[in-house]
Amino acid sequence: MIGDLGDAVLALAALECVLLVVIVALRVHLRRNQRRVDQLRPCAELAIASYLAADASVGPETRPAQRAIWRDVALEAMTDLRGSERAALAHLLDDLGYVSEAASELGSRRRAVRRRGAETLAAVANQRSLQALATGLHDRDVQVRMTCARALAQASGTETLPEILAAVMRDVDAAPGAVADIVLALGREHPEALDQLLDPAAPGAPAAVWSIAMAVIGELRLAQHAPRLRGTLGERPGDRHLAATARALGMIGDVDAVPPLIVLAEDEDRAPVARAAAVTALGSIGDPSAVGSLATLVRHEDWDLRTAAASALCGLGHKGRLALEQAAQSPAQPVREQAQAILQS
Amino acid sequence: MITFGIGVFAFFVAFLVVHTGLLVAAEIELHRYAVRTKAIGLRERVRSPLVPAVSILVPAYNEGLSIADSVRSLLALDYPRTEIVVINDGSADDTIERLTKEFGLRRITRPTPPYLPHMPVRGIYAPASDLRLLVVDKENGGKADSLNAGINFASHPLFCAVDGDSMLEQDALVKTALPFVEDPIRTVASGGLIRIANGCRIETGRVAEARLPAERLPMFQVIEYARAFFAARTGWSAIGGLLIISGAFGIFRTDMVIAAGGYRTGIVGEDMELVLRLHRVCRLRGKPYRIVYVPDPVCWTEAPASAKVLRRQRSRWHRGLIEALYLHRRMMGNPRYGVVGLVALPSMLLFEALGPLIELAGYGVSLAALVAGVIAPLGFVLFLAVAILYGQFLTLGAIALEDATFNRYPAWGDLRRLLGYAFAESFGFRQMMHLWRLEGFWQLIRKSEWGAMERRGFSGSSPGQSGSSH
Repeated sequence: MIGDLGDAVLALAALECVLLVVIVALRVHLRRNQRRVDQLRPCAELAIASYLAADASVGPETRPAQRAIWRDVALEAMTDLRGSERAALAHLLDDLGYVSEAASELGSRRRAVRRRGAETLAAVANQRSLQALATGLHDRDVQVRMTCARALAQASGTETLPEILAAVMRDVDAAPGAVADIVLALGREHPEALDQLLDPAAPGAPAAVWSIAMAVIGELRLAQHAPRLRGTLGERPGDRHLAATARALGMIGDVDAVPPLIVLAEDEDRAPVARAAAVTALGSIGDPSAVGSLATLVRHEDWDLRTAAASALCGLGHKGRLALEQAAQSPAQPVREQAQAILQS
Repeated sequence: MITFGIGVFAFFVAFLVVHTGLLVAAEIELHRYAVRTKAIGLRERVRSPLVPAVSILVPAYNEGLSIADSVRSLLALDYPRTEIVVINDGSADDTIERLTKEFGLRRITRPTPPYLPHMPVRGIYAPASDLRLLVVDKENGGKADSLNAGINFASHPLFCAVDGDSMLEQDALVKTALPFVEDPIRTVASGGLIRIANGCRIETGRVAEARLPAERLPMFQVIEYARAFFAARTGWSAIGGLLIISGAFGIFRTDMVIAAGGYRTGIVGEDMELVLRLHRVCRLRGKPYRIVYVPDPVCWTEAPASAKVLRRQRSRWHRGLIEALYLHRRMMGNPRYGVVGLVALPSMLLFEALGPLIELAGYGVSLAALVAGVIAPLGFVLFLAVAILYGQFLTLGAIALEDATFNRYPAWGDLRRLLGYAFAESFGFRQMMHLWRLEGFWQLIRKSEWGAMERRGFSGSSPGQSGSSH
């Protein structure tokens, strides 16, 4: 027993010594790296700034460490650059061989290297990098696939859309946030493509993709999808779907959606979440024909519905304000308070 | 005596297995996090209009001196869409007057939403400008009650609970909200790294330079926090068993917290209790969910520098831990709750709640056995050495993880001090912490006060799930 304990003490002491050596070695390594970055980074920053300011020529960097820092600085700069400056820097990166390098990195066995390659190609996003990015759509790492799909959605033509949409459908469960970014990019560059994501009953279409597409349509106010959305209201899907559809229609400001939205807002069989979304949408659209319905709903017993109705009335001009003032005289204290609060704000 | 020996040995082996596993899981998770954040282009991601808006809730009790600075620093955080909701919890000082003067507040009428119960609201204030600030003045009810009021008035899908005296780094909110951006469907809550601000250079409510504390007690706490956040919490998060998101800094989905019933009032450990309840509610719903810890975001907080305050804090934290475990005892060992029920909660009970008792009892019984001649002096010394060396091994592991990833204390002198305190911690400080935690245990048993709480002010939140007992 004592012998075993003695062995354990020795083993632990040895482990601690190893750990101490690791910590010290790690520090030395990190400090050396930092020193190198501190030395090389200002040169790279200066070279890029000079190139962008005066179109000064920049020679190719040959040392791997210097190239890596150069690439880091260029990619950071591209995050903040727009228009011709961004295009100029992308052109420079291509000229200096970074695009070819990144394209070959996509074939690496190391995931981190492939991700880095995809990020570089996505930042450059010129014709040559787009070809490489298309191959990245079939990578085994979801982050590489998503980076490539986002860049292609932003910069490529319609030829890669089927593959991008397939990636969106396939990966929404693993990376819903990244898929949302891709759908947003599609909404900006190829708004018609979202139509294919709007059918929750389509085979292989996950409900999450539908919700994301709906949020993007609302956020980007893509009015061309409004007829399809109005149709969805008529199909009477679940409450959450109805709420998302109503929100999108409200953000678009689709006046033709007012009648079905009024029907939804007044539907006592629907959950408050869907009805409140319809009420908010009516307020955003601002059509005075909704005043009568909202004036009733501002007296509803459900807090969310009442609050949404009071806020919506506020956006419906003189008629809406009159209805709110009447509600502010209501004998029911909660109704009165809510209307007064909105009037005061 | 033999049974006791076997029990202590089994405890030690279980501790060794769980904590070594956590250290390995933490290493993998930190590496994964570093690779991921390097590639995702954080700044571009948060520019997306789909990034969820966050209501920052700041409960304040007698914080007139610092509240204006805190609000100003929160308003300047890097995040596209935020609002600040300050909840004045019946302060006896001039908190409201200071806020009114600094931000040009005026009293407004707003009915109180009915989602969560809390003490009556005395008034609502908002600035005349378009500053995203709302001040809720309510009767005193404690921190949990204030947070419930804040949740009621929050208008965004996420809320961030922040202590009034905490200082957030510029990008802390962005990084902590990232799990919600990456996985908006499953992410329910996300906590961030908390560090000790004692000794740091602070300018206008922000940490301008990270430095180690000059005093001993805060220095020991730096070691504890490193172990708690870099090893334990990162490891638990990696395997889906995170049980604590510090009350000092965490982001939650507003609708989920409302569905779970909000913060429980009348207990000390409301932060841990809420996370446990979220686990329970989400598991019962049967849908996949994530409660995660992000190892990088930094919230700086002042650690107690005096033994008196530290003693009170530790005994209160321990009471909070036991209360939360007791309230959710049905989850313990229950396979329905997966890793949380089968691994995280039993570990918490054994190593955190009962750990101080077991370890101190181990010292006492071993000493008695030594005096009675039941065990040999060499055996006693060797067993102590194993326990101490393993504790130090875990601490060194946590320091190595911090060094390899964020390295916030890069000077060699800092490393010397960290290592020195890591070794010294086992000789006196740890035993003292155990005694103070036991005191909390004792207070709880003696008063049987499940719910009655005399506190009316706030204080720092537990690093918890910490491995603070070895």
